[in-house]
Amino acid sequence: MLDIPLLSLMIFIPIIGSIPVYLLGRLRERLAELASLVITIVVFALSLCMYGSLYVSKEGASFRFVEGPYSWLGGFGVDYYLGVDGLSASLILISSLLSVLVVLGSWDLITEKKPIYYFLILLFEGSIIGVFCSLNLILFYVFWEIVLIPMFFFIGVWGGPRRKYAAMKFLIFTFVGSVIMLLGFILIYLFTTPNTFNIPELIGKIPFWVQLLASAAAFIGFGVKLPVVPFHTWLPDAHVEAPAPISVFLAGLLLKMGGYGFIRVNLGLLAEASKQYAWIFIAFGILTMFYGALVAMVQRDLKRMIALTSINHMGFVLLGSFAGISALTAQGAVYGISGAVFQMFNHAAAIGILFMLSGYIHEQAGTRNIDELKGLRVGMPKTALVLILGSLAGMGVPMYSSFLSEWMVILGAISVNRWYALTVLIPLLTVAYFLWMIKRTVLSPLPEHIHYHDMHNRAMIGLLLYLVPLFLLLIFPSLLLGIVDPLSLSLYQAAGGG
Amino acid sequence: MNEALPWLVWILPIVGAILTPVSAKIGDRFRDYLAVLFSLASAVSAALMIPSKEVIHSTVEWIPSIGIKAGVLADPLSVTMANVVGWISFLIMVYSLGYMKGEPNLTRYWFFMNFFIGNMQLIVLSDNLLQLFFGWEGVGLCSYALIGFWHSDEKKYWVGTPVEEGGRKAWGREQAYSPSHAGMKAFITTRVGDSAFLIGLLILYTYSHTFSFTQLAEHTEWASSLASAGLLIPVTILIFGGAVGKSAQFPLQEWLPDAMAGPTSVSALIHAATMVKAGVFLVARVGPIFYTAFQAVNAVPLFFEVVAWIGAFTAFLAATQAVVGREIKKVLAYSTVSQIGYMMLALGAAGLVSESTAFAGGFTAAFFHLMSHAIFKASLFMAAGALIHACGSKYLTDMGGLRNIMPITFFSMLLASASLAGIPPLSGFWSKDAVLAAVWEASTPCAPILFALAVVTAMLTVFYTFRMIGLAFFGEKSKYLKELEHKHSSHSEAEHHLGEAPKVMWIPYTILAVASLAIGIVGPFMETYLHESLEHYLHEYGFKVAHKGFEINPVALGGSLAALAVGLPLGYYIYVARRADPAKIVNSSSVLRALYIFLENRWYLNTLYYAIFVDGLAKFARVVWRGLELGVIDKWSDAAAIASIVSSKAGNWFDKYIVDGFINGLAYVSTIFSRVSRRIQTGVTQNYLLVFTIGVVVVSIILILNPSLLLR
Amino acid sequence: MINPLLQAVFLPIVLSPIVYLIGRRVGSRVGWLSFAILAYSTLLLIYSASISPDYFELYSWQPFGLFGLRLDGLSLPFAITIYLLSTVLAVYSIPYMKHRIEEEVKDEHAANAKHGIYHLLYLTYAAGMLGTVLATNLIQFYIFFEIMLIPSYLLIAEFGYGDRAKISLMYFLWTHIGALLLLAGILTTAFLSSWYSGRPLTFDMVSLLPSGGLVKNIDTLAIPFGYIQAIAILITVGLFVKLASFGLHIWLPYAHAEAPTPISALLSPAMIGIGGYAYIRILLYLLPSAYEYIFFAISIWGLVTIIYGGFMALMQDDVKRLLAYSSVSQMGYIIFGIASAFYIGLSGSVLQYVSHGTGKAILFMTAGSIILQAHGLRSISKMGGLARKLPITATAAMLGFLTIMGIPPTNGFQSEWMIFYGSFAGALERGDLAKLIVSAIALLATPLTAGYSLWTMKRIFFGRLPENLQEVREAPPTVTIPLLFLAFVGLLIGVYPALFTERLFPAVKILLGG
Repeated sequence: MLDIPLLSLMIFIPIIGSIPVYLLGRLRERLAELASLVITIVVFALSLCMYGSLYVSKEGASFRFVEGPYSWLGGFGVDYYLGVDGLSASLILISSLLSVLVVLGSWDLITEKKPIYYFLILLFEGSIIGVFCSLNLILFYVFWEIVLIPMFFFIGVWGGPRRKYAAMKFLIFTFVGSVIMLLGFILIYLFTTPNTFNIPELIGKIPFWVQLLASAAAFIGFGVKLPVVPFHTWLPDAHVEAPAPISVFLAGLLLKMGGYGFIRVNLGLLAEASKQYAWIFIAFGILTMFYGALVAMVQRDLKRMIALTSINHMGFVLLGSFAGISALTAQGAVYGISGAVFQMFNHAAAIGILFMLSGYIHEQAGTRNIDELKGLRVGMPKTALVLILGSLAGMGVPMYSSFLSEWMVILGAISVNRWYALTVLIPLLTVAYFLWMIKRTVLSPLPEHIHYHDMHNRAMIGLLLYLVPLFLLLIFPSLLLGIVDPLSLSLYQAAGGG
Repeated sequence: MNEALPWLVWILPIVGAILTPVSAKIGDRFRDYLAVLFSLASAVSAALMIPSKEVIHSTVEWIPSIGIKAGVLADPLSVTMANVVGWISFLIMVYSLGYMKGEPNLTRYWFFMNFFIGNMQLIVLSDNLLQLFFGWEGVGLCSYALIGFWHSDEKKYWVGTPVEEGGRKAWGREQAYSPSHAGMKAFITTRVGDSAFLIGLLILYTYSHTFSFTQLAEHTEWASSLASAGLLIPVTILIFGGAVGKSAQFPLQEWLPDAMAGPTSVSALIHAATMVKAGVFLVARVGPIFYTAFQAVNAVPLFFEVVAWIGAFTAFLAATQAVVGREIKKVLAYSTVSQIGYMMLALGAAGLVSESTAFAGGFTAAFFHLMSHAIFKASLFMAAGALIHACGSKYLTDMGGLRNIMPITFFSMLLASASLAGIPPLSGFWSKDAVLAAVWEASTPCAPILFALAVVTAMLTVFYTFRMIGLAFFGEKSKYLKELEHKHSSHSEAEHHLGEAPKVMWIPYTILAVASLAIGIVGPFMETYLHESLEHYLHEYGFKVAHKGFEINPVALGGSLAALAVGLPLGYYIYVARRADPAKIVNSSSVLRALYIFLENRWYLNTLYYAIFVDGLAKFARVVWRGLELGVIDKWSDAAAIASIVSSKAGNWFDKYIVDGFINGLAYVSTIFSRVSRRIQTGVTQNYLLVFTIGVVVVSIILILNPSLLLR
Repeated sequence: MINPLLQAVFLPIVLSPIVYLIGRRVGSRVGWLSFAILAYSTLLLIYSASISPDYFELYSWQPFGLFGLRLDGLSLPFAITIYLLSTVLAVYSIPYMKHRIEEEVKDEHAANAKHGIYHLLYLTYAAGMLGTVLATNLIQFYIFFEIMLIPSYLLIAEFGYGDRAKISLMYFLWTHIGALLLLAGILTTAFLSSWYSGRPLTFDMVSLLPSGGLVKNIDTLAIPFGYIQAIAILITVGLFVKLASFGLHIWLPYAHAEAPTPISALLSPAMIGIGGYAYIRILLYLLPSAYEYIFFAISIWGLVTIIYGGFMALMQDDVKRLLAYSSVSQMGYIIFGIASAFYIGLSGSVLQYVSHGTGKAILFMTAGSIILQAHGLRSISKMGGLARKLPITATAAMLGFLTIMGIPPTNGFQSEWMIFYGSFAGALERGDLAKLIVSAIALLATPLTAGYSLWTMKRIFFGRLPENLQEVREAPPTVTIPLLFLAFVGLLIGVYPALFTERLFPAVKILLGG
């Protein structure tokens, strides 16, 4: 165990650092950009160290870098208690990575109110890392809510024409959800002995009826974030209005909070209930996968389409985690849960490039309407190339690790019921509408009157960086699964399976 | 003796063929002579095999993992055949030097001629069926390529009478074909037979696990297992199907007459002397094996029945068509089909004998007839080529009175035709006589009918032979020839004047004509020699040998003489002496006229085949194309796309108006919040405080309900 | 030399960006570079084959097992054919793509960039195909199976003719549906086999024996028959989309007709046949009982495909569409051979892949050379008498047609007789009269191939030469030499099939458990 409180550093360097960044930004905006880049890179480096040590020690199951519990709100079992296992580690890694990339991307795409913008970015990063590594339910809730604040402002301030509506919709949804979730937590606290909010102490102690109520509450809380159909409608609007980098945060990280919650709380704490009523969650999962893909097809707005794609992708997370917990074989469970985690990781990267791209396209073509974008192949070849590569990542064809995660999830599902094998056909819709979009935008002839400006090479490289982890993990999936698999296995065994 | 000889016989010409494009770079004359040289080398090495008394059988590994060997088998049968093929080919190659003089693209010609000889010798000498099939398809390919040698399809190269030259239509279909069409027709028709052959071959192999003739003959267990599976007869007949295709027997005979679109040298080599005999040779190869097989399982030799009947019927069919042929080459083609029918008939008869000693009789007869026919028919074709060359027309009716102008051609053609007609003492007489004898001796109830058919055919043969001779050489010159001469006399320098063919052309066919006379003179001894050597050969296949000397079967002799007695005077009266005008006779009665047209249109078989297998299939294809491919399958993708888009629209509508609509109600409630938030950004935090308090309130309520929690 | 197979598969992929960058400078001439790369990789293949009859390289690919590359008697013919064709066609692409790109892009620099992209995709495509046939791990197999799809999709979309946007989309979706069904089958198989056999879940088709050999690793014997049936149907339909068998073939004529000709000459001969390989490698090897259950049905399906493809070919006027439909028919033969349930028949369809590979590649290349020389002419009804203007092309075309007709001495005959012999033998072994009759019908349908082939020869190369084609000249050596080379290879295998059969027969025999 290292002496330096690595996790706290990763949380508070950005949060504290956000203030000087803001002040610097008041002096010269360029400074804010550079400073925030430096900070995010530092955090990324730290998270790499953390991840690396976890990977080397191969202990994905148990919590490491534990800090605390230090009593915070004494008496109510509210402690400052941090720790990471395979799940948190991988999500923290992708969060810090995305933050770097988002900062880079924002240089081009964000033109106004830069200081406050970067202030919020850092705040967001810190708090979301907090969410992923806090081992106390209240601490978790606090970070969870703090995340909302910057996001609300991002949408409300830097958003598009209907930003107020979108922001409020986003706020109300997530907020109502989180309140219900809080109630669930409190319920757990009250009816479990010992009365504590500390996750490690709660494991396996919660009475079944509490589990039922709590998982219902948690389902709404996390389901809104994930999002699960029918709680998803805030997402397209939020994405459409949010600026591209923020969409990356939204889809890449905010949604992951839902997935994380499902695995950490439902699978970890409420295992028995989840195991027994898994079929409900699985059903919602499949519904979400299918629904997202189906609705995406006829969207005119490129960004809306991508947003719905991420709904489809997150359906896999729900399916995978609950198929895993209720799987008949340990391997099925490992494939399901690890697949879900893997899927979250891949989706973060894949959806990141797509949203960024939509931002660039909007900036250069002045529109995101698929019917108005014509002949990109000739008009902006670089953008077209990145769009094709990104779409391939979104489709989950086996050029990227997103394919691996999807079929792992499906394999987990098969181990519950053989006929789930046919869920492989759901990505087909995804492929269909992506290719259709490419056909209409990239491959169509270029009208005379339109003249596009192509993106410059730095932007293109910045975008292609998103694809590096996807390539890497296709060839060496063990880099991630090495630490996630033990976790999945322990979760499954804790739930009394295998 | 020399193991290498049989290999050389078929490899040398192929080497020659491959060298042709190279030698063409050096010079045309060099190329031509080199090609001829290679064919000579092959013929010589064939001749060198004759002295060896014992059978040469040498093999090499081919597909070891399933024990398939390539090999050559030089036994009396193949050695004799190889010599016939080799030497006739050589003579025809020499003839081509003159006949093809000045043609463009001769490289292609020489390549395929040599390639053909190689493949033909491969058929003859191969020791197993698979390798034989290689040669089998090889010669088919050469025939295709050479029939279509003039593939630019100028009208003058067409076979048959185009409508604009006053040709008749049958069922509204023109009866003239371009060279490329004729080649295609030949290939596809034979291909049908070949697929049957292949089926039989492969099923046979399934049981015998060997393609080799010798092993097939030695171990006949395959026969019993095939018979028990009820497949023995079908398999043998399917294999015979290949022979039917190659040798243009009924029902696959229609390609051969149109194959005359090729150069005459090609017709002489491929479509008279050698390739079309491949079928006969195949039957001669497998006949004994099958016979012993039938003996082994004492099954009814239905196979030989079929062979005999198809042979007899084809012989008759083709002979009737030859009677009315207008083009000299087509007459010869019909006659070829008919004569091959004889050979098949003899082979069939051979298998129908009561005891195996007599098998050799029909076997020898067939083979003897094959030899003599190859010789005189090759000679006839080459001579006909000379005629066409001289007159510049393929129609018999455009010739006439040529005996003084082309004496040598006349002489040799007369000899050859006499042999074809079976006039003693020419080779044709003996061989045909032997065939008739074999048929008569066949111990089957329907032998008399077969015999009668054969005799009638013989009679027709005599008639059309002399019709041909008469029309070409007797009477006075046709109108066409008169015009031609007038044209030539008008311009002093004639491009080719009416006269005797050049040496390089007439020497070969005269040699062959004389040969047929020579063989005829020593006919009986020739036959006995063949009989003995073939008996010796059959002995290895487990046949009992009964050394019977040469005797003449009186009935057969009577038959052939009767045929002569009827046919010869008739032919002489009408066509040589020109005492009667055939056109008048035909037009005199509507019956005769109808018959004439019926025969001229080949019994309408050709038309029938076209109606069914060309137009029928084309129509079928069109229907499927329109109905199924474009109508149904092609629509699937689009249908699926439309369906998914529609359902997606529906889903979208649901999303907008049902789910979202419900939510928006909630959103209106929250306008207060939004107004607040618009005024003071920090308003949000107040909301949080509010919620925290709610939470606290809830907690305290629960604590009040359940105080025990505090009292710990 | 170290891990030759790994090099052979990944060298083209790794070097493709470099090829692109060089292509931006030198334009079409970069084709020589990709030619060199592929030729080297081909040599590597031959070298690995020379090491041992069952040469393999295994690399750890946790947690999915082993990333294996195996060059045994079964995959050897496929691997060699794929890389041979790719190598030859790389040369052929040089003149063709020059012409094709000049049609669209006038600007020098943009054209060069396009050449770069073309060869980048081309190399990836070739490597993807090779990886598919060498894969020993089901997931690895699927990954390569898709990797060969994506570049070909982009190649059609970027360089194709006609309504390429729609057609490439159609191509991708059809084959992707097939691939996904296959994936469903694979996953179910893997899971069920571990579930019922009680062994850990694995995707490795083979595992390494201490003795150094490979042994079947997935045990599917215990799976209930109901599941077996479902899996059999999934995999069959999935792969038959790739094989373009009757009813699932409609994407093929479009894709193959509108792809740039060098790609058509890879799609049709090299790619779709891989479906047959997958069928043998996966269904027969892993699920023999499924094969027993389905082989008669697919023999009927194959027969229908043979005849249907032939008839559709008769109806075509576009030479490339005609060839595409003839490919459908030829795939029918492959299916038929696979359905023979006898090792020689199966080996026959492997050889059929090889012979169709050489023959159809030749034919597409001749079509390309006509397009090249007659300025984009593709309608057969406007051709005729070209044999005089394009003698070498005509000769090559004749050989190509002979190959697909199965006429000796081309290798087409070897595959044909093996397929049908196997079919008869399989039928007779089982005393299955229906199968016997089906086989006979299939063999009697071969003249159909002869029919459309020779008729096409006649319409294109024989007869009268139209006025507008008077000044057509023979194609440059970069076109004719590849043609003649392939023709030579075809004849070589035709005369001496032992080159492949000696390893193929034993391999297939073992695979059938005999």
